[in-house]
Amino acid sequence: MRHARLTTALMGTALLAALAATATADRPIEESLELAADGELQVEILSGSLVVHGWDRAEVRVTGTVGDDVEDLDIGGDGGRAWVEIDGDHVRRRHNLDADLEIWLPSTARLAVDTLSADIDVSEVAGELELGSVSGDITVSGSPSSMEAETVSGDVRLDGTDSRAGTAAAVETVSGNVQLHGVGRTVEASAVSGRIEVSAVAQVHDVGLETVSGDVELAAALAPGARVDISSHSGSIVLRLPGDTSASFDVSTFNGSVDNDFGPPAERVDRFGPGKSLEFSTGGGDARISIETFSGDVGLKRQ
Amino acid sequence: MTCRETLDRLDDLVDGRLAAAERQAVRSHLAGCLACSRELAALRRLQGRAAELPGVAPRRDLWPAIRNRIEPSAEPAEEGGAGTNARFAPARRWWPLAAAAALAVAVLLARPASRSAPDSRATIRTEADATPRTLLLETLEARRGELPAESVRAFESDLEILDHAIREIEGALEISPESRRLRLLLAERRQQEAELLKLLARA
Repeated sequence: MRHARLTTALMGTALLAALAATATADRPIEESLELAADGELQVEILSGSLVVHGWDRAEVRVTGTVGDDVEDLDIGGDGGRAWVEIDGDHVRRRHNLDADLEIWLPSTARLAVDTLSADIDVSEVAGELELGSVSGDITVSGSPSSMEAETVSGDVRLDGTDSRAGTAAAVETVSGNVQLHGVGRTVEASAVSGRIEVSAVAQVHDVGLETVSGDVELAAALAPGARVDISSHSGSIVLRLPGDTSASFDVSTFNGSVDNDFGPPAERVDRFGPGKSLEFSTGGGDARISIETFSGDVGLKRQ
Repeated sequence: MTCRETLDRLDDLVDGRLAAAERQAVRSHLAGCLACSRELAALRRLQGRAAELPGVAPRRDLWPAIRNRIEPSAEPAEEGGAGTNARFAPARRWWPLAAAAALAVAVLLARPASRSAPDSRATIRTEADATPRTLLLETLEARRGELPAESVRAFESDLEILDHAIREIEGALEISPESRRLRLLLAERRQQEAELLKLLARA
């Protein structure tokens, strides 16, 4: 009798395990569709991971798996536009909504991605990128012509490889860290507590970097007439420039220190408060650099 | 006209609400004062950014409640609106929230950097000032179950950081009330608060 009970219990356990395995099973995805070289691909998934590669075919290929609870997977296109979308609004609280996808698209196409927590990894895409994730990390390698990226807590990283033009980058995050290496003439990035680190392969022309508590570091050569604006409340700011930089500097801090490799020390400007200001020029003063903090320290360093 | 008198009138100058003589006096001062000219340029940059905000119009019952809270005497807003389900117009699940945030952004950007210049909009601003934060916190609470926990924590902690920064600058302005740079910093922090609201709406 006891043996029978044990057998029944084991069978029940096995059944539950089988049901659990079924409930969390992944469905394989394998789809291909045409997309023009100057077309656009839009991808929307919730969780999991997304890896995107550029290639030289006028075609989108999607492989990978999606969770069994994903009911509305929409893959389609009309030749000029293509989409891969999971509509998870009504099932977001259910369990297995992961999508682990690997996608190839024409390298010159435009790519727009929106995820909730899925990490995004893009490589070898030369077209425009518009990438957003709430908590997922965004990683881009290669040299897209432009990259707009937005996260709340996810990190953003660009490893640009084109030494001639670089990528025009615009990044916004809350607490994510931003690392942009190989940017082109234009770069904008803002964060609250996230750290921003930027280096350029070409001479930068328009730079705007802003944080509240995150540190900021920019290493770049400046194009003639460049405009660089960097601001932080309590984060430190380090600007690394070639020794022969031609620029006019306007640096101010209310309660931070200024360490200047290029010119005179900062002077106190407020009779009543601890504010410091530093204005000077090097070379012909072609470029204009404005740096402002409340309590963050400022460093102007020679590369 | 002194720098302080000029700075107190920049909002009205930008809004085109100065009388001709006063406008001329402000412009005369600006012509010879680089610092005040920079302040004007910064104000116009902020105004330009506000103008670039997406022109969303709330489409459902969220709007009357929000509008009543900000403008109690306002007429009820029309239902319906510009909502779209078209592909490549990704304004769906967060759409009403975007509308709320855009409204909050507009209110935030309307707040004057100077606290010393009372004007005819003071009553509306006073009521509106508390609302964006309330909206943000309500939105955050409503979406707590949808957003990843780490992102909710990021919003909460970074809002505190931003609040702390604003309080620090306001405290510094008590010491140095004429500091144009501090006022500019304050405006920038408020701009960042507005951007945070937009980001939450889009998340």
